[in-house]
Amino acid sequence: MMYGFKIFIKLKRKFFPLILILSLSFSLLLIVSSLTEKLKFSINSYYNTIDGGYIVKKGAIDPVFSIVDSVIPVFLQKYPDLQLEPEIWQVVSTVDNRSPFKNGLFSFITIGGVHLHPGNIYYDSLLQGLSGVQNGCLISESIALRYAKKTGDTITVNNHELKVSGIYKTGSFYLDCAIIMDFNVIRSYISIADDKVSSYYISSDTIFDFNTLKNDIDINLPDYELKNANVFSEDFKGVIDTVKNFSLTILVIIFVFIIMIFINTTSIILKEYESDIYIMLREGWGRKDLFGLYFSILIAALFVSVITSLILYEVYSLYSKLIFAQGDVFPFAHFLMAIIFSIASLTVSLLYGLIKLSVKSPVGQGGIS
Amino acid sequence: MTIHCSGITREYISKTDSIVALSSVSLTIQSALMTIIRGQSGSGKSTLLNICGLIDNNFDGTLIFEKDGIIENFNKVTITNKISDFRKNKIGYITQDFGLINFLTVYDNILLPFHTKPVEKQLIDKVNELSRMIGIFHLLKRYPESLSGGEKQRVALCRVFLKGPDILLADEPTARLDKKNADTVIGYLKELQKQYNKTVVIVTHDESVQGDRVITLKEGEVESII
Repeated sequence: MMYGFKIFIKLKRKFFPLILILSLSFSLLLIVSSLTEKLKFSINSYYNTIDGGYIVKKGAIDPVFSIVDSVIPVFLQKYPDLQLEPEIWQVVSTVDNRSPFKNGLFSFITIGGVHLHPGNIYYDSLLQGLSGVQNGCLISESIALRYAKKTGDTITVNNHELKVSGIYKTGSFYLDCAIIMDFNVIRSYISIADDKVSSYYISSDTIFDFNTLKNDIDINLPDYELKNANVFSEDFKGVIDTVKNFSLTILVIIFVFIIMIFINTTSIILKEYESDIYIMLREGWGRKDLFGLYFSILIAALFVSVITSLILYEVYSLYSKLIFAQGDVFPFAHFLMAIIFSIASLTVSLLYGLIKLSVKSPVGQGGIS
Repeated sequence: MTIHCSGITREYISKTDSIVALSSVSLTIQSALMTIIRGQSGSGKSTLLNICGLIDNNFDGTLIFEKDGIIENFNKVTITNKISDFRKNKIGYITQDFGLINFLTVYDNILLPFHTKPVEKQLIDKVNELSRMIGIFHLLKRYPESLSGGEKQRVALCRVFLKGPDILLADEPTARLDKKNADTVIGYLKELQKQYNKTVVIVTHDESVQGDRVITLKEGEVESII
């Protein structure tokens, strides 16, 4: 290995194009992997955020800063039987005295106050444990993993000590970044006027057609918009699922296509260097030495690729934050998973090349042992 | 070191065709002599050389190397580690394409066989000494692509001298050289054979190259040994 690396350093001029091509392919692979995750998150967060409808102020990161009190009376007048549940959300500045604002899985964490009763998305057997616990809260599985919390532990949120009453699983990005408390408890916990709430959601089981609902309300909403997953008709839900699956399928096809290019590139490069490798074999290099050389190429390619990918990732995150204020939809944890997957692809393709080369015969000659 | 070839047959098989390059060749290449192998194109000269150099081990028959009463047998089922170790320690090879890696300097090309273990100072001193002797000391930091054919072959020779193998196999070593350079290369090979008692085998079309023995091949068989 050491001598393989030594000869690799001497051969760096020759292997520079190899490293460059591998790095670019590898980086592309990482970006596509991460984009796949991003798309998954985006679809989930858009179509599957929270059951029940809610109205948000335009331009706000829903549902965090949505103040809709002026709309609600009109809404209830049209649908007097509609059950609306108020929510309070506040952005968390510190968790366990650390800022959650960092480039990665959590660009923000919110603490939310909700009514916990059957019919509410937050309600399940796990959440029932919240009632009766003083200063109890529920945290998502992602937050539990990040802060190494389990049920019964304490967590300090904005300098308030809370007890973790339960950990919930969710496919929603927003809920993944949320700490949930009882609506009435949170009122005494944060400074907010008694008649103010952050947003409302429709807690009844009725499924509304989005456009009908919007027309029926017939209100002028210059500053507000209605946003909800479950106000779509059942038929439209099927369309959403189809679009979701189709988009993911396209990305998987692109992903496979890039891997094929990747393996093919490796194969072409190996062919180009065959004559040099035969010279090495003829001059006494064994398979172990050759493996060392390959391993050195692999390490160098990985090193350059990871650095390139990280730079691309940072540029992309910055771009997302500046343009869309959505750097959070590109989770670093999934980016790391993509790196691991791509390292495996790179290793397999290079080893494949090595095995292929070791059993191949020089042109017009017998096999080199 | 003496090489005994016993019933060596080599057949190249493709999907549509099969060609017998060597057919039951039995001969002995004497130790510490310069042996020339001649023959027309396709007579099996290079194939025989590749088999003697253990580059091609896909042959029928037996290859025996003998030195000071120690015998080493090789055939198509010999394990690869034994073959590569023997080739590494006992055999040197010179080809008409010089066998140099263009992106390594002359110095690193000479040391190529030794990059699999730590390069000691003694070895570096020896490189300097040999390169001065062969007249390529001033080329050590250059790359092969900037050298002439004669210079490249001298670099290849320097590498072989440094390795100091018991057997030196040369496949058309003068084919791409002018008369002056060809004479120089053959001169060095003779010096290696005489001064260090090495077994030298040269495959060549060049009638001016003379050795202690001449083996002539025709259509994969031994036509004459003089």
